[in-house]
Amino acid sequence: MDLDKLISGCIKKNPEARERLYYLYRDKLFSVCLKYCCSFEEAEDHLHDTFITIFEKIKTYKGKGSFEGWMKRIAIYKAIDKYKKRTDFELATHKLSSLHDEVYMENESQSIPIEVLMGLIQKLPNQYRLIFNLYELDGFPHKEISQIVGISESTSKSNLFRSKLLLKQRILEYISLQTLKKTDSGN
Amino acid sequence: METKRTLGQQVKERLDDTGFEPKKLSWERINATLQKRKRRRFFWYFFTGAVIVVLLLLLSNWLYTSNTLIEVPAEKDIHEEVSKKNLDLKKMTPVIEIENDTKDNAAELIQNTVEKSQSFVKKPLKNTSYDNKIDLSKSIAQSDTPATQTQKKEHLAMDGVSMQDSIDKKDTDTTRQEKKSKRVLKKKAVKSKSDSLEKVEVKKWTISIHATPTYSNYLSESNALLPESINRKKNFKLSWSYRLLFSIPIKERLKFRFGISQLDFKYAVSFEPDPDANNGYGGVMISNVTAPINPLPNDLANDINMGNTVELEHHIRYLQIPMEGVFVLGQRKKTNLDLIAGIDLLILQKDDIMLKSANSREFRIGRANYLNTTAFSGHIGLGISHPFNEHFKLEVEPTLFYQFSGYGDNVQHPSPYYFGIYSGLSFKF
Repeated sequence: MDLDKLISGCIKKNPEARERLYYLYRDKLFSVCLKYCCSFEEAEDHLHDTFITIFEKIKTYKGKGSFEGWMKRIAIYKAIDKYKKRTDFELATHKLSSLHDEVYMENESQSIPIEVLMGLIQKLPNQYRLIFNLYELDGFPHKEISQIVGISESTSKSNLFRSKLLLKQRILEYISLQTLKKTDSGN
Repeated sequence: METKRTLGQQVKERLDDTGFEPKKLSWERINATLQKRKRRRFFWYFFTGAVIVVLLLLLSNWLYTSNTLIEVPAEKDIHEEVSKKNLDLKKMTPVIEIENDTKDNAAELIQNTVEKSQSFVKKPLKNTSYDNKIDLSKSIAQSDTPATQTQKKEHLAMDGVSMQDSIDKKDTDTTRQEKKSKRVLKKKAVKSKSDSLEKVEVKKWTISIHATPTYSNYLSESNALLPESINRKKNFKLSWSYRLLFSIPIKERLKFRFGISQLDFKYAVSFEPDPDANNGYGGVMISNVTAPINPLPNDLANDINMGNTVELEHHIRYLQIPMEGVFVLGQRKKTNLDLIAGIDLLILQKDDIMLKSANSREFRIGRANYLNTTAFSGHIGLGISHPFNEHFKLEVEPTLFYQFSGYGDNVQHPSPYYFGIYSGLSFKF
């Protein structure tokens, strides 16, 4: 069954078409959910809510742009909504002098297992993780981030910079810890 | 040589395809949530429908009441008022003698008032309000104009009638007048009693027998029996339904009806089997059928093997118990136009899934596993009735039904609806 038939089946609320769509995009959407959530369990709940919204709103999909992109945006916007509802969500408002400096790394991150890297992103403070994901991983410009999150562009840039510094620090800490472990086991 | 790249680029590359799978979340959990929301939605539709019906009933009740609630002076009150007036007359000076004539006027007014009030009871007026209450005392006072008084004073002076004589005469007249008023009131009381008897007669039971060809279909395009991937076509099917209704008037414009009805539906879908397929019915797997599939008769099997079009029919029969309100929208000559709205309890009686081809008879392959034994539906319609004589009426009632429930959680609610033009006779006892 091609994608158009699958979409029209979902519009007609056909259970078989819905199930197929779920298994077709489950893993891709779950990756998005994992990035925006602070734990595996929260990501599963977020995926559930995302699919419910997708099935309820699928008739509004007009065929403009990729269907996968449309579904990913639903997952992202639902994550933003959840962040906004949280009382502990406070974004850094002070500016940094080196705001526009990029955070560079050697290719150390390549040696880190994927689940560890995901874990380090999930452990970032909520506000940093949100801006880092939106800007670096999903390609939202600061202007759009400021509009959808409800912050100024400079705050968005500040949060991004801080998130990258923090993530780099934690990656390096993890690598040094692993190196230390290897040295200990070698001795 | 390793090159320095931004942290964002490195992380994005790693997370492009993580290969993570959700562990706890399954399709069943999502499906269960969707079904729950659907049930909640149908509950709200049902609730909204019920509220509309109740509001219609209340509106009809209010319309009826506002037309007929005219405060008619009670006979006792009229009598007391006349007696009081007579007592006042006795205490008054000769000038009041003129009031004797006023008493005549009062008696006439009372008579007119009673007649008017009875005509209100018999025939409700639309634009009548409490402002139109008849104030007897006001009317009596207004009827006595200064010109009449002066004329009568002069007349008395000319005749040389003494004051005492006048008073005596007045007393005699008063007694006569009282008797006359009592006679009028007695007559009216008898008439009023006969009117109330007429009212009781209206509250008679009516029994109706109706039949209709029923057209039924689903709003949903999906079919629980056939997979989505099969090319299929919904076919228009007519069946017949019958009902017996009892009605009792609640108000002049409102009736309550209930009864029993037999509803037959036929939902049909045709598909083309694949002659080369070895499974199912020419490659078509029919799902949600409970009974084991029996061997097909030869003529049907041959048609399937040749790839001829096969029709899958679902025959459903419900015993329906309708409860409804019938509100009279209007009347032209003797013909009534009614609004009908209500809910129905449906009890499943027949559930057969049949296969049929051009060269074969219908063959039962089983029954659906998703139909509940009880269900609810709501309906709305119009009724046109015309009396032949005192007892018999011809009734035509086009009615649309929507089934709220009756489908299991294993399938999507297909939103079934059915339409019938119920026609028949009613008999008023």
